[in-house]
Amino acid sequence: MKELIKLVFVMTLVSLISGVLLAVTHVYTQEPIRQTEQRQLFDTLRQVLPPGEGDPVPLVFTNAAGQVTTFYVTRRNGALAGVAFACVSAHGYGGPVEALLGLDATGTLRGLEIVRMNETPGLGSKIGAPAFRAQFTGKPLEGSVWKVRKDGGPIDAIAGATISSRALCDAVSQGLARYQEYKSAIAAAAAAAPARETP
Amino acid sequence: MTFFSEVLRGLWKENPTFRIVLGMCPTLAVTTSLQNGLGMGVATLFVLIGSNVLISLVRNVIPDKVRIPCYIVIAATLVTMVDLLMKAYTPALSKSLGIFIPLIVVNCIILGRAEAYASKNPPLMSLADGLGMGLGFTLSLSVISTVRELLGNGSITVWGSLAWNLKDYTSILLVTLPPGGFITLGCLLAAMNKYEIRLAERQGRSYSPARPANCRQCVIGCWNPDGPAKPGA
Repeated sequence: MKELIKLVFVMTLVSLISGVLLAVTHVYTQEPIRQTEQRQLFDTLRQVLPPGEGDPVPLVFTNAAGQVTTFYVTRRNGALAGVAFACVSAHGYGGPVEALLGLDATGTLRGLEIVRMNETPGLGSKIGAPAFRAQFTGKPLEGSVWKVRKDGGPIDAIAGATISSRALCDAVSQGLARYQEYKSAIAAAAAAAPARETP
Repeated sequence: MTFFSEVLRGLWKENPTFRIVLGMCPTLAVTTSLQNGLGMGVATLFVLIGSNVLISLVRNVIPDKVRIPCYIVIAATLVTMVDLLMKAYTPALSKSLGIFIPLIVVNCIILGRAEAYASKNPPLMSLADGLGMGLGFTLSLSVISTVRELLGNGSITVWGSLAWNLKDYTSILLVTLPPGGFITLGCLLAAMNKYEIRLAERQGRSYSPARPANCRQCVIGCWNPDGPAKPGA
């Protein structure tokens, strides 16, 4: 009995110390991590968007179902120059695949960057390689078929990673659906709102 | 048993990958490219040093019966703290090593060294053991991943810069796929054993594999002809 109490006491103490240490680390690193993520987001936005004036401006929309979508718009000479937005597919091999799409004023997919994925390193993770992503860019978002060759589309899947390749196609298709939903609203908001400072 | 000899031990004689054959899951999974192998190796090296020293410090306080859960909690806490600190203050390093950090908790080299070494030796020696084992692991992963990336891709790229390129080479994709991991590891293990046997013959002694010598200290008892040993016995 005495031994049992000692064992429970030691285990509790070890877990308690660990818990406190983790809580303290979390509190102190929360803000720097948030800032780093924000900075990385804007760096990625600049990669996918055509050059514009100032930082990209976020436009937040909520639809009837309560889904929140954020579009980042950039302007040049008073006109809409590009739109960027995140799209997610839940059908990745190791979890969701999230990509950032950038469109120019004509609706052509100008840039595609993977922002979050957990695909197998060396296999599925190759969907982030420039050679694979080049199959997506330069095409109009609307009117192109976003499917791998096995599913009757034009995209060559990565050998051994069809599920990951399919997931990226799925993410782009989801992005297309979301973009069509708000296309007119983005144009209206971008025309009305003057370029403002980003937070 | 000096600090330096303990470090050297992990590099060859008790190399965690090729001699003790521990941590096979991360070894086979991440060695598809040299960058991944180095990343996993270096991340494990830091965690291994930290966990070895910490566990060595508390080795006389933790009761025997709950030592394994305690070691896991200590290693997991350490890994999570390192992960958060790296994300906050060294985002570039975190971006390249980030995906390996959570994998380290389940790497049995950490628990293996805690059990076989750090729980029985003073902190400084445990640091040496962690350093040696970590370096040995990094070295082994680098060798396996160099072979696999070179044969599977025909080139080696480390952090964005091309280090080596084989011209007119048709790459063998199989080598980068999971079966290729097993094949490469098997060939390298065989080569290392062959070399050890030749070395033993030349020196006129009989060759004995390192495995039983290591498992005899182990109290988990997966391989032990004499039954579970008492810790410290």
